[in-house]
Amino acid sequence: MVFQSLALLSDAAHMLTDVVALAIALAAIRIGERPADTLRTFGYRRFEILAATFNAVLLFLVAGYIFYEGVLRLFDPEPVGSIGMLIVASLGLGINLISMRLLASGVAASLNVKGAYLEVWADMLGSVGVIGGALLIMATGWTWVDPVVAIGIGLWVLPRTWVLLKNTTHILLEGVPKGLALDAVRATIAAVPGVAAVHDLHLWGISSDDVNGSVHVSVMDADAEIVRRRVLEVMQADHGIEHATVQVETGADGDPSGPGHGDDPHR
Amino acid sequence: MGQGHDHGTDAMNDGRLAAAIAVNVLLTLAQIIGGVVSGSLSLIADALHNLNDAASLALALFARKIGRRPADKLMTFGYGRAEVVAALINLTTLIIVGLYLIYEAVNRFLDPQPIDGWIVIWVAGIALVIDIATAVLVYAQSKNSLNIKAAFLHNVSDAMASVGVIAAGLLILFYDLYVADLIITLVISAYVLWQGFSLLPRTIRLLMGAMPDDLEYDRIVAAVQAVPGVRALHHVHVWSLDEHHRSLEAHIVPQVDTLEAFQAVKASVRTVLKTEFSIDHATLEPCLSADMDSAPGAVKAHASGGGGAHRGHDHGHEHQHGSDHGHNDHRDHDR
Repeated sequence: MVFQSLALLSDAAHMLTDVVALAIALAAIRIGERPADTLRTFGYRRFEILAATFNAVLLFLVAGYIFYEGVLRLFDPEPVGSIGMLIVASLGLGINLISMRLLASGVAASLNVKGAYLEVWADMLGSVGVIGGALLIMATGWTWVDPVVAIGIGLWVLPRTWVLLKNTTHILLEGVPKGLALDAVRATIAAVPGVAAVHDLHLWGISSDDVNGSVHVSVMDADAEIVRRRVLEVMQADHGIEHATVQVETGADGDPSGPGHGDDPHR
Repeated sequence: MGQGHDHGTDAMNDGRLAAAIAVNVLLTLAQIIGGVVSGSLSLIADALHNLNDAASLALALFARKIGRRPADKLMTFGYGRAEVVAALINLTTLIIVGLYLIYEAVNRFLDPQPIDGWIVIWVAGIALVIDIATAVLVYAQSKNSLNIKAAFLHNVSDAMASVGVIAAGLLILFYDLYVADLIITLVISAYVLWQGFSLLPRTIRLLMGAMPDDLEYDRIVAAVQAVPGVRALHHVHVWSLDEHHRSLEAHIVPQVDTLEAFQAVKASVRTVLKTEFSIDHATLEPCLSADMDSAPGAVKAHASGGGGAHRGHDHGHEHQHGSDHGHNDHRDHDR
């Protein structure tokens, strides 16, 4: 604020959202570890996905705000104190690099950590952009560099945020987890000896690293109990579905789980 | 999930939402043109703000349309939750905007800017008219949909902000009362934050798949246990699919150990679930030879009748054991 640099101000706002994002990610990990209870019968792991969604929305808004301010500044450029920009941005860069090192290990495993990591990463890039912008302004006196850098950072962050939001929304909508195909799982179950028909197959994840399944299996000329166990076994062994409910029944059609479904998964 | 909806009403409601979006987009364009022609930055700023409104309404409409799609191979429970996710996004935005308003008001108070004159009041007046028109179009639908309600709230907060700008602008122009801006903005922010935070818990609970309350879980377990032919019940999961639909899965030990007998029991359980708890989606796994352990493939400690822990992943050695050896099966805890 003292140095009147938008790029710097946006960097500072970003830092603040970083702290919030990291705090939320950490809290979500803690809450996600709680065991299932009678209120949340699948446990609390879903909370991490909500935290990641929140962080994605936050990033969107921050990027949107930087755009907004950047456009206004392009119309109405303001003087920039480039030395101050340089010092503060260098400090920010150092802090961001440290945070990135700390978070890097958890990124592959958790969407929640990935969200927080993305924030810090965007920040790091922001600091680099501000430093570059400050040097350019010092050398040339072009104040329009400042909003252009800010808008560039926003443009860089947005597509990544979109991907993160897409992934979390998929889980929140209880979509079939990544890497699994409904038809392949159906085929595996149908191949179990004694299985006459498979319908009402559902696959979904509570968080980014687990799979739940439920399915109806019609049994013909076989011991229902053996078929049920075998189905559970192949679901875990072939597709890693650790938590499944299998309704075995007589007759080729069986009874559906309920109305209101499309044709495909309930064939 | 389609059923029970009148498609004619749906189309009309979508039309109203679309009209609201169109009005906001038109205003945005008009303000940008006016802003560029007159060189007023406050017009352009308000235009971008209105675009934000249009975006929040567009998200709500988009989610409604997506939410009606039937289940497919990707979303096996259907797309109903899209509306809840949209509500989450709009509420999060609302809360952040509320906080940002406070930040800006404090900034303006510490470093008062001369008001751009009457143009600010005119701009806010036009925005207010548009906001009211939008609110009228959307209000009727906001009552039974979290999604539309969140978008509606966004709109109400904007209308209030416009009133605030007009009131504060007049007070500053006539009496130099800069503190009016701060106070009015703080009051509006407080309202926005309060509304946002009061809707958020319900949205989060839905997306976490939670029950309305603990008692209901126990009531469901008790009711199913009371169905004739049911000997025991365990591994019970109940969760919300969307605002109006719930799903259940459970293991049932029937009194008679045959699949044919279980068919009848299953039908009665389904009826109880549907009529007493409006749960119309259920997967019921029969445990026929209940004294045996369960299949090795499904080993995991479950939240059983009383709601136990659910974290015990105990796999990795099951295949050496073969299928006649089970281990730490949850079924044992129930008997």
